[in-house]
Formats: sequence, structure tokens, C-alpha cells
Amino acid sequence: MPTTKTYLSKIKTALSLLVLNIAFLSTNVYANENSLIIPEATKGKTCVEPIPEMRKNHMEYLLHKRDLTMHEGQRTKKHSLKECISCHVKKDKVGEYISINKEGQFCQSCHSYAAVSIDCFGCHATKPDAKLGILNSQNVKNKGITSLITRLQKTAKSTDE
Amino acid sequence: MASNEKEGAPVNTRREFLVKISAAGALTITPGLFLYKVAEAKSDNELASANKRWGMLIDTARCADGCNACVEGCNKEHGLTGHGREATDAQWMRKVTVTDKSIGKTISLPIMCQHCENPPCADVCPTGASFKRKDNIVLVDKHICIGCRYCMMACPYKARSFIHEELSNQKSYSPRGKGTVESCTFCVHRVDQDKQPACVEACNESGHKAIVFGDMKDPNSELSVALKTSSSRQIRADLGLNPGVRYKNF
Amino acid sequence: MKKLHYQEIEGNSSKFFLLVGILGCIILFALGATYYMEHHGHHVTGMTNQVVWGMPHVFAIFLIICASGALNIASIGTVFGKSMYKPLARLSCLLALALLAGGLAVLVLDLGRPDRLIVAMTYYNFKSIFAWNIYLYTGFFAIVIVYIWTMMDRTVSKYYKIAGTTAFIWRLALTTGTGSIFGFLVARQAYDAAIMAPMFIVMSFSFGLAAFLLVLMFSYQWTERELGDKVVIRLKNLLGVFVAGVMYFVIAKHLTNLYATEHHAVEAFILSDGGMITKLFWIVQLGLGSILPLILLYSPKTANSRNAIISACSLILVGGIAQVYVILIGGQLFPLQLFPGMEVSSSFFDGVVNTYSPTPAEILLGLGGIALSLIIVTFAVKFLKFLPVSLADDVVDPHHS
Ligand code: HEC
Ligand code: HEC
Ligand code: HEC
Repeated sequence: MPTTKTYLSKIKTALSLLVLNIAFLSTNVYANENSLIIPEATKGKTCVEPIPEMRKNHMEYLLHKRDLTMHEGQRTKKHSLKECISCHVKKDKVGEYISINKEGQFCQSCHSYAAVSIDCFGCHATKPDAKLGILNSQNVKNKGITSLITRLQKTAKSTDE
Repeated sequence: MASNEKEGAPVNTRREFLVKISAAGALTITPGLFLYKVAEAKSDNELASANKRWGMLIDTARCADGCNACVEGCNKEHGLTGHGREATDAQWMRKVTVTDKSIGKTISLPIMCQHCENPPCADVCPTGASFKRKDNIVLVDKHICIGCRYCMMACPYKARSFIHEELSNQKSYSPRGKGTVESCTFCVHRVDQDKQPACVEACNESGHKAIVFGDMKDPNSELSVALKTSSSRQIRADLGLNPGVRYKNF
Repeated sequence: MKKLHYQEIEGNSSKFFLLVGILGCIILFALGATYYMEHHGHHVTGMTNQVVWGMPHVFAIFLIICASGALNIASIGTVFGKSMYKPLARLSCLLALALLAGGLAVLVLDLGRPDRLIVAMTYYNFKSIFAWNIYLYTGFFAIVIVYIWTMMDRTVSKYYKIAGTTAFIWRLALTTGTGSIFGFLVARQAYDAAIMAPMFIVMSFSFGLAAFLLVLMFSYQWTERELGDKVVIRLKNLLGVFVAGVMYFVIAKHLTNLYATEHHAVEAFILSDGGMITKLFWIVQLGLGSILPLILLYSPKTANSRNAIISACSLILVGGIAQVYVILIGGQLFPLQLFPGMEVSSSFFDGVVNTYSPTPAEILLGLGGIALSLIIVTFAVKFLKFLPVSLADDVVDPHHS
């Protein structure tokens, strides 16, 4: 596929990460008012991948997942953009979600620090849906069977390995 | 995935043999219902498969003139609120009134992306953003859509809309945004979770039950049975596109 | 007998700065218009979900057609060995490149996501005629630049013929490609004609030559260089043939369409009931853009007047824009036939003739493309040896007595 593009983006990534690493390495970075403050996650004990890995490569996971979902219909939650938001989004004082791409919010924090701009949130929702559409209807009735199938597939896989 | 690829290949290792046995065993343990479910249900990590072709049969005799339930269901599901600008607002689905002057008969039917087997939109798209999934759902990969609108020129059904302004408050499962083209997705986010498209649900709730959705390649699906037992037609069949949406009593 | 000699123009007259100033302003306004349209989204334009391609595409397609046609003069010299055309070859190539650049700029700036240009260049759908066109355009740039190089640099002049021939074949492919953009739209009644591709080629001959003649005459007038009648008369006679050729194709297209019953409705729309489109077709495209120029070019009273030739060329270009408008917009105004023979209505403009009223911003963007082409030419002739010092009769044709 697009080799020039991956090449270019590699260079870009390297440059921006350099900026970030300087920020991480310099002592007291979190204490300094003018420097990077990354809001803490609101759900989960850890991220979907090890933290250093996520810092460095979250875009790769997202883009890979994006293509898998778009073209192949893979709907697993891990690496899904919806899930990043559901764990990393914050609420304000009255309990309303704050858009994840607002200044100072999770996705925006490093990006404005490293002068990265992303267009994802021109389309993607910046907050979890008010009511979850996924869980509320017919799906539930197949749940037992679906989980049985998943279990069987897992056993099959482990035998394979 | 891995086991899918091997399907049909000769069983040549003991381990694979074991896998096959356990899968076959599962099928026989719970016959009937379970067999059917294996064909229908799709778990989250299962991928779209060429063994399926999603389609629809719309019974125009049941589709009531003046009823707009499917369109409203679609708009609600995907957050198509509009901006009070008819000519540029997105419409994924619309009700069309067709009058045959010679016999004075009027019918009403919904038209949306017809999910062609040979989609002209995908043929003309310069970046490949318009594409057909393995299970024949025609989609726009909005991540690589450059907004050239050639697909809209090519679509015989006028099924596509261009987003003419910035949007906000999109649904998390239906991202939409300025400068790209979009159209009915057959509610792919629902289909992948083994649910019916929003329009079908809305039509059923309205009591008309005019739309049957299902897998055309599964001979036992409700859709296949309905297609076999009644005569239906395609819109602009002369173009040879083989759409996945068919109309009955028309 | 004088010798053929190329020289940069001086480019320091007040006329030169005025020209650059005006063109620069148009380009700035066009950029402003683009920013306005992209910032607010396309709803501030006249384009809608029914008329999806509008004024920018009219200008872009027109410029691209002109570009391939402008190269013809060089091809006639190189491929067909007509020595009189050889001194014109450099300007011909330059104009072709400039017009193509202008057209593509307009096309790109009208995209919904112009920021994703990198995507357009890295993701290809090889089935798409559009994607093929991207190759055809970049190839055109590369080949024509090499072609110019073989003309300007003695050390590579042995490749001149080969470069010229390649460029000629390539430009035919390019125009066919542009015409085929429409050919692939099976569902649109107005575009569904095999005659489209050859018609585009003849259109390119005509518009390209008209643009070339205009640029040639103005640049020689303003730089006070000599431009003999030989060249001008030869070119304008050729132009007349091309204009007649376009008319022939237009008539043939509409007549063949009138044979096929399924095309009657769309023909009636363009030829008689289309309102603005019908007027543009008869008055601007045919009357002002074809018949009047033919009279100006051939009538004994005006045939040798430079002003008449300038007027004819300008009219041909205006008629050309009208022709592209009639094809492109007219074809979209006419409703798609979902149920042939039935009456349809809906909330999405099914079955009704659409409307399109271009906004100033769109038109500015289109004009910006033209200005960009012209400014490229203006600077190129100032800094490189594109124009012969003289094109007097005894320079272009040494055997002239
Ligand atoms: C630890 C800091 C950090 C956080 C938190 C962060 N990012 Fe990033 N992100 C970066 C850096 C640095 C880059 C630049 C890499 C590059 O330019 O390719 C980047 C790049 C990206 C890119 C690729 C941009 C491009 O044009 O190539 C995407 C997509 C992205 N981030 C998405 C997100 C999302 C979504 C979130 C919130 C869930 C997020 N990021 C949170 C640091 C961060
Ligand atoms: C299960 C909840 C959960 C999900 C889902 C999740 N994260 Fe995290 N993420 C965390 C936690 C917990 C941390 C630890 C640091 C913290 O508390 O902020 C973290 C840390 C990170 C960091 C490093 C931040 C830093 O302080 O340097 C990045 C970058 C990140 N996540 C990006 C993502 C992206 C992108 C996604 C979606 C693909 C995602 N996360 C999904 C819970 C989650
Ligand atoms: C022009 C609109 C648009 C933009 C911009 C956009 N997306 Fe998407 N994205 C979509 C659509 C539409 C889907 C398909 C949703 C579905 O089928 O459920 C999608 C799906 C995804 C998915 C899979 C579903 C999920 O929630 O995990 C990921 C991951 C994703 N996009 C990542 C990104 C990233 C990262 C960016 C920014 C670099 C981005 N998208 C920008 C429209 C967009």
C-alpha cells in the first residue's frame, strides 16, 4: 500500500515524539505550569497496551483498528476509538461529559503540546453516547449462544497452538 | 480467521484434525437452533464474510403512502438532523411516490443505497474510498474520501449525500463530517452485531412490516425464502448492477 | 533573411506590472473565495446534493481541455514536420503546462477535503478513470517538460522528435481520459454517448488553439515584437476548421440522440425547455461561440483584421465555457430516471428539474484558475527563452519571397 505515506508519517512521528520525550525526560515536567499535563484516565487500571507503548504508538493501533473495522467489519472493543474515549473522557462539575478534544482534555493535551493536529473529531463523537445503543435491544437474546461460540473458538485456537 | 482460511483444505495435521472434530462436535451437540445461529450470528471479532450477501426486500403493498417511519428511524439512528436547507441536507433514505399515469396507480416506496453487486460509485472513486465489503455492503471509507463527488455523479439512485457544513453531536457509532460523501450503510454497525438495520426496526414498530432484511446467500433466511416465493424487481435492472434491495408488488 | 532567435521578454514595462498586478489580485481573491467555501462548507456555494459539480468544475474541465489543445501547435511542428510551427513550439508547450496547472488547481481547491491531497496521491483505485487521469496529468507535466528541454538544450536535441511524438500521443490519451469522465456515468442520460470522447478531442483542438492565438498576439503586441501575417493567418485558418469540427460533433451528437427514444426527454430539455441551459446552448455556444467566429475568421471583410481574429478567439473561448457548462450542468439539472415512463416525487427532488445558481465565490475560484495559468506564462516568458524575438514572415518561412 502507500509506502511514501507511511515513510512520511514515520518521520513526522519521530519528530513529534522527540518533542514529547524531551518533555517527559525533563524533570518536574508535570509540576511546571506551562508544560504538559495529561489528564488521568477515568476508567480502568491500565491502558489497552502498556503505557509507554501507547504513548509512542497509539496512532498506529488506531489506524490499524480503523481499517479493520471499516473494511473487514471487526467490532472488537480493544483499540476502538469509542473505547479510548469512554475510559479517558472526563466529566465536569455537574456531571456532564467534557469533549475529549477540548483544550486540556486527554487527546488534546499532548497534541497541542507537540503541535499535532488530528481531524478525527470532525466526524467522531467526542463523548460517549448519552444512551448506549449497542446494549439495549435484540443483541441480548443471542448472548448466551454467542458466548458459547466464542468459548468454543477459544478452545479450538488453544488446541491449535 | 485462521480456521476460516483453512476451510475446505485437506486435513493434514493431527492438530487441525482435532480442531475440525471439536467444531463438528459442537454442531451436533446442539442441533437445530444452534446450526441456524452459526449461520446468522456474528461475534465481534468475526470478520465480514463473502459467504454472505446482505439484502432487503421491500413490499410496496405494505409500505403506506404518507408513512415515513423508516426514514425517521434512519435519521434518528445516524443523527441526520439537517439544517433547514433542503437542497444540501443529507438524506440517506427517502420516500418516493411513483405514479403510473397510464393506469392511474400510485405507490410509495423508500429508496436508499441499493448496495449493488457492481456498484458504479466504487468503480469511479479515485481513492477507493467507496468500496464494497465482502458481504456486499457498499460503504464510504470516510477516512480516505477526498470529497470529489464523482460517486454522486455515478450513482443511478441518487442515494448519496455530500456533507456541506461542519457537524456536531454525531453518534459515536456513526461518525459523519464536513467535506465527505455518505450514504446508507445498511446500518453496518448493527448488522455486525447481529441486529437489524434501524429502518427495518422502525417499519416493524410502525406495524407495516414492509421490509425484510437478511442474507441472500443463505437459502433458509427469511429474505431468501421471501424472494423465492414472490416475484420482485430491481430498480433500473437494465443497468445490470444487481442491487441488493428488491421491491415486491410493484 | 533574419535568423530565428529566442529571448526573454524584458518585463519591466508598466503594462507588464499592471498585468501581473491584475492577475495577482484575481488569484488572491480566488484564494479568499476558496477559504470561504472550505471554511463554511459547500452549502455557501450553489452546489447541492443534486447539482454536485458546479462552476469550479466547468472552469477546471475547460482549462484541462484547453491545455491539451494548446500543445497541438508544437505537435504539428514536431510530429507532422511543418516547419512554420516550430518557432511556436516552446510557447505552445508552456501554455499547455500553465493551463493544466490552472485547471488542476481549481479542481483540487474545490474538493471537500483539499487537505487530503496526499491521500489522493497515495491511494489509487485502478478501476477509476479519475485515478487514471491523475497519472495522465502528472505524465503530461513530465513529458512536456522534457519536450521543452529538448528544444532549449542543444545537447539533448536528438531526443526532440521522440519527446514530441510521445507528448502528442499522451495528449490524445489525456483528452480521451477527460472525456471519459463523463462516459462512465451510465446513469446520466445526458452523458451517455460514445461520441463524447472524440468530441472532447476536437473541442480541445479548437479551444486550445484559440487560447494560444490570443496569448501569442497579446504577448507580441505588448512586447512590440514583430508577428508576421503568415503565422497569424495560417493559425486562424486552422482555427476555423476546428470550430467547424466542433459544430459538426455537436450536431451529430444531438441528432443521434434524437434517434433514440430514451434520450428524447433530455434532448428536449437541452434544446428547447431548459431555460438558461437552452439559451446558453443556442445563443452563447452556437451563435456567439461558433457561428460568429466563423464569420469573423472567414468573411473577406474581416478575415485579415487582427482585431477580428482577437474577437473571434475570445468568442470561441466564451462559447467553450458555455459548452462545458451546458454539458456538465445541463446534464445534472435534468432529473435521473429511476422509473422510466412514470411520474415520481419525493423530498429529495426526484423527478423535478433541478436548479443551480452559481455564487460569486465559485466563479472567482474558476477565474483564479485562468489567472494562475496566465501568470505562469507571464513569468515564464520573462525568465526563460520561450518567445522568438521576431516572428516576421521572413523569419518563420525562409523560402518566403
Ligand atoms: C502522551 C501524549 C498523547 C496523548 C495522550 C494522545 N496523543 Fe495522539 N499523538 C501524540 C503525538 C506525539 C503524536 C504525533 C505523532 C505523529 O505526528 O505522527 C500523536 C499523533 C496522533 C495521531 C496521528 C496523527 C497524524 O496525523 O499522523 C492520531 C490519530 C492520534 N494521535 C490520536 C489520538 C487520540 C484519539 C488520542 C486520545 C484518545 C490521543 N491521540 C492522545 C501524543 C499523544
Ligand atoms: C480500560 C480503559 C482504557 C481504555 C479503553 C483506553 N485507555 Fe488509555 N489509559 C488508561 C489508563 C488507566 C491509563 C494510565 C494512565 C492514566 O491513568 O491516565 C492510560 C494511558 C494512556 C496513555 C498514556 C498517557 C500518559 O499519561 O502518558 C495514552 C496515550 C492512552 N492511554 C491512549 C489510549 C488510546 C489511544 C486508547 C484507545 C485505543 C486508549 N488509551 C484506551 C485506560 C484506558
Ligand atoms: C470524515 C469522517 C471521519 C473522520 C475525519 C475520521 N473518521 Fe474514523 N470513522 C468514520 C466512519 C464513518 C467510521 C465507521 C463507523 C462504523 O462503521 O462503525 C469510522 C470508524 C473508525 C474506527 C473504527 C470504529 C471505532 O470507533 O473504533 C476507528 C478506530 C477510527 N474511525 C479512527 C479514526 C481516526 C484515528 C481518525 C483521525 C485520524 C478518524 N477515524 C477520522 C469517519 C471518520
